[in-house]
Amino acid sequence: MTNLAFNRKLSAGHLEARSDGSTGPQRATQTRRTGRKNRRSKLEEVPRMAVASGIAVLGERVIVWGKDLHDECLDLSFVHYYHYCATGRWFTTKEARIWERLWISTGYPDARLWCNRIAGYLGAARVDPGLCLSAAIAASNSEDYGFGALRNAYRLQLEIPAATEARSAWLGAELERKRRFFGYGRPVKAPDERLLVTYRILAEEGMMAGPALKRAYWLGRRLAERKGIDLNVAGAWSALAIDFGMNEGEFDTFMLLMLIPGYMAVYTDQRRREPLGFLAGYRAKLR
Amino acid sequence: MKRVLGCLRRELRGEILFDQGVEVARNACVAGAPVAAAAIGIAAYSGSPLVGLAALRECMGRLERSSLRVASWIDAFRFVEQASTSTRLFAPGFGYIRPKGAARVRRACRLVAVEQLRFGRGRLSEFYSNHHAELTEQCGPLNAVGLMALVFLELGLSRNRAERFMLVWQVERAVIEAQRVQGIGAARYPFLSEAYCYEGSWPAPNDRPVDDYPRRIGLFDEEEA
Repeated sequence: MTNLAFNRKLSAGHLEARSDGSTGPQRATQTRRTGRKNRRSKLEEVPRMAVASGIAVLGERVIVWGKDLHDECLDLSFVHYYHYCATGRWFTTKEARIWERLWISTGYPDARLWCNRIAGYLGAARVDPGLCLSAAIAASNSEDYGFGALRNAYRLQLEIPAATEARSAWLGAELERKRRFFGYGRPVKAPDERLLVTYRILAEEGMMAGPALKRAYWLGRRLAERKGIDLNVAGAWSALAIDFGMNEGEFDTFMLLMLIPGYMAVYTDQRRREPLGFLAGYRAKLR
Repeated sequence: MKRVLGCLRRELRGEILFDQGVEVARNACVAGAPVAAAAIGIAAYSGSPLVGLAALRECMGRLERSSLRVASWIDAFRFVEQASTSTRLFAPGFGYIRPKGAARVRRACRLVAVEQLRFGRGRLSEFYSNHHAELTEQCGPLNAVGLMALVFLELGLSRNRAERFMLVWQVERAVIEAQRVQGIGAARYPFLSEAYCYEGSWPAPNDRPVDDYPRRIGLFDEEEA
């Protein structure tokens, strides 16, 4: 259906709107009105969609979580706007800018990385970019790295006690039970180069470390001494999210797009090369 | 029909015919993503116009329009060198397969032909088996998609049904492989072991001074207190 046809369909109905408080968003219900009795009884069976995220009043305006998209959101950066959509909360420009720079800092276009490798295969096979993106994002939902690792790191950060004494006791107990510390350590023998970049971005944006990031750093120093593993970027960013007031669900949803630049760089590169030439005939053998 | 499909499915499951789609699925799960990620990966791979579902449909269409003559098949599937770009034009169902895989496809083709000839079917697979040398010379070797197209046509499957069979078989095969490596992690998977050849340019060396950023943002406050 074209937009025009859809608009006509909508205009045959009406929009019921009522105020939900002086500052809150409006709730709107769209129903179609018809003169015929039998037609009306059929329409009454149409399922009700209860939403608060937004409404597109086609031909007029678009509301996103209570704000006017074309009036109040156009000056946001894409990451800021996405942040708003994904969380329904309005972050400061500084916070959004920090996340945007952090995301850039992890957009690694290295075809050896597991999720980028998928993009490489799919680019070489000339698969459409939309399908490639879906596959790469799905693969990034993994426990060891990617979104699962971030989720686990977030949970761990929430557990770290605020009081230093309690924290030390907690650490002793966790070490005792040989817990895996998500957000600490790296599979390669190199420090996480994004950590220093994270601290630099915070410093350049004039943002001091919050209590969660300080706790994360404290734990990193202790684990470096006792286990030889240090804070990694998943640990630092999940702590930062806690300091910024993001809950786990919001953090999960928001971080989803951060690896896309890496996927798409590899995809484009391989799409320009010989068809199906990426690691042709190669089958990864387990060590 | 069940017997022939079963035979074809078994033959296509052989490891020698694993393609990059299987590698996509293995990569998807190696770091501990759920098998849904493998299924999404292989489903995306089936969107390849070269070796995916579109190639199957196109190959079936060209086969339908061809007669059982070598010249007619060559006409439908011959690859052409594009002088300007030195790239080969694509013939659906042919090429993009290594010699061992192509031999396996030929063997499978013979098997399904024999299986079907008992019931008076299998003319396409028999024809290919008899003429594969001439056809390979002009069109490249028949690949797994091409074999499926031949057999599905012989069995009188519609293109939609053929597409469903191919997709389901591919997903099943890839998910089995993905489950084998699921969650083994980088330690056992040979990431970063390839001879990585970066062909791009290098920017000038970064001489940014290393600042004491952790101290500047107050990370040491607790320690120092």
